[in-house]
Amino acid sequence: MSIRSHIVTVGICLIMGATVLYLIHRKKLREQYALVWIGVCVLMIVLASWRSLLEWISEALGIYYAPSALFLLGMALSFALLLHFSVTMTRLYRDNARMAVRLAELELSGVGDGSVTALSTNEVPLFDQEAGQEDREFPVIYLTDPRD
Amino acid sequence: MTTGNAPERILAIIPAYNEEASVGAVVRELTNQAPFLDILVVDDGSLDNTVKEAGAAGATVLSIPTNLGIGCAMKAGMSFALERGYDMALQVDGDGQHDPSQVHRLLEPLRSSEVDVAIGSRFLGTGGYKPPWHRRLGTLLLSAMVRAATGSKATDTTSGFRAMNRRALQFLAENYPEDYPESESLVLMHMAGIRWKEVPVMMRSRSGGTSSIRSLSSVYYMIKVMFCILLDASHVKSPRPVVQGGEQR
Repeated sequence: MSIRSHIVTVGICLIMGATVLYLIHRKKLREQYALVWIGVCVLMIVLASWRSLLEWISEALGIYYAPSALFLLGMALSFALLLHFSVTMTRLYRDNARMAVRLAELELSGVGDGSVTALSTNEVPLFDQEAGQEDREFPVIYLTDPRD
Repeated sequence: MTTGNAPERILAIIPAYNEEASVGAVVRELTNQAPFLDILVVDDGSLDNTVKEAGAAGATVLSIPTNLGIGCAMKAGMSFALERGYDMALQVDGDGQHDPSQVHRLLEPLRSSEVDVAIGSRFLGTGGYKPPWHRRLGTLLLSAMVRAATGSKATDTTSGFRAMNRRALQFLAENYPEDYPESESLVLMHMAGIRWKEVPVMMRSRSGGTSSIRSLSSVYYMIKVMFCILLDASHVKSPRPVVQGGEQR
């Protein structure tokens, strides 16, 4: 690879890395995914800078034109990420279905009409008495920041 | 809200994921040894009888329908403690590792207002717990990172046996990391000015279930936690400050 293409590749990777860090800073990206993307950036920078490593890999794979090995690796990595996201989406779908069923059960058990005041299996809930006398059906515990 | 000379109210939060074998015994033992505690089991989407066992043992159970991770379960428990006006909260694991007779050791530095969070360490003082070498190496590495980021010595950064006062709860209910939270939370607290210290406690071996830190994922665990500590220490990931009166959401 020429010096120019080298600079372009490393530049793109650095911009990508900076974007990932910015998204973490704005709390728009979970660290779990940030870690994957930072890993991809570092890998691409290493392969773009360390020419003999890329040539060694392409030789081992039986590829004569070293930059095509870069494309192959990039594609393989992209497919791996897409598969990972498909798995994640499957889990999210299942979790979502479970929550919908739980909500339906709660509505049937009377949370909506105020006869149940707490998500509790204890007969004597810890909740203070005033809470039950309000119009609020049950204490809401936020798992995420409502301001987001 | 508890004010004036009213007796202090303390909530023990037990996060539990598939702990049917041990959670009932943990709740009963806590009830016997520390009857002044209210007990909340946060079921993190368990697929076994954790909810039933915990409820039968007399705990209040907050059951999350899906598995969100121990950090989210603890956040739910801490929000509960804040909303119900508890003065302090304890975190106790659902696997029986944490000895209820040690609870007073954790509460003492909070009662004297010495710190906001007390963390039970099995490596301080007399414990005699000898982990396998790879766990020991991971522990040393995490301790070194926490020390570099906070300047404080932490011997047992993954300990989930903790006591927190209201000030710490307000911060942690917002900022507790979602997965693998223990070590990183030490750095987050340091940066937010929440004072913490380790207290020597005795711990037992697990009475049931498996650790959330399994050998297969331990490499990912180490990388993730070190990455997060780096992000925190370099201010890329800044914690949300505690807003005065922000607890009535």
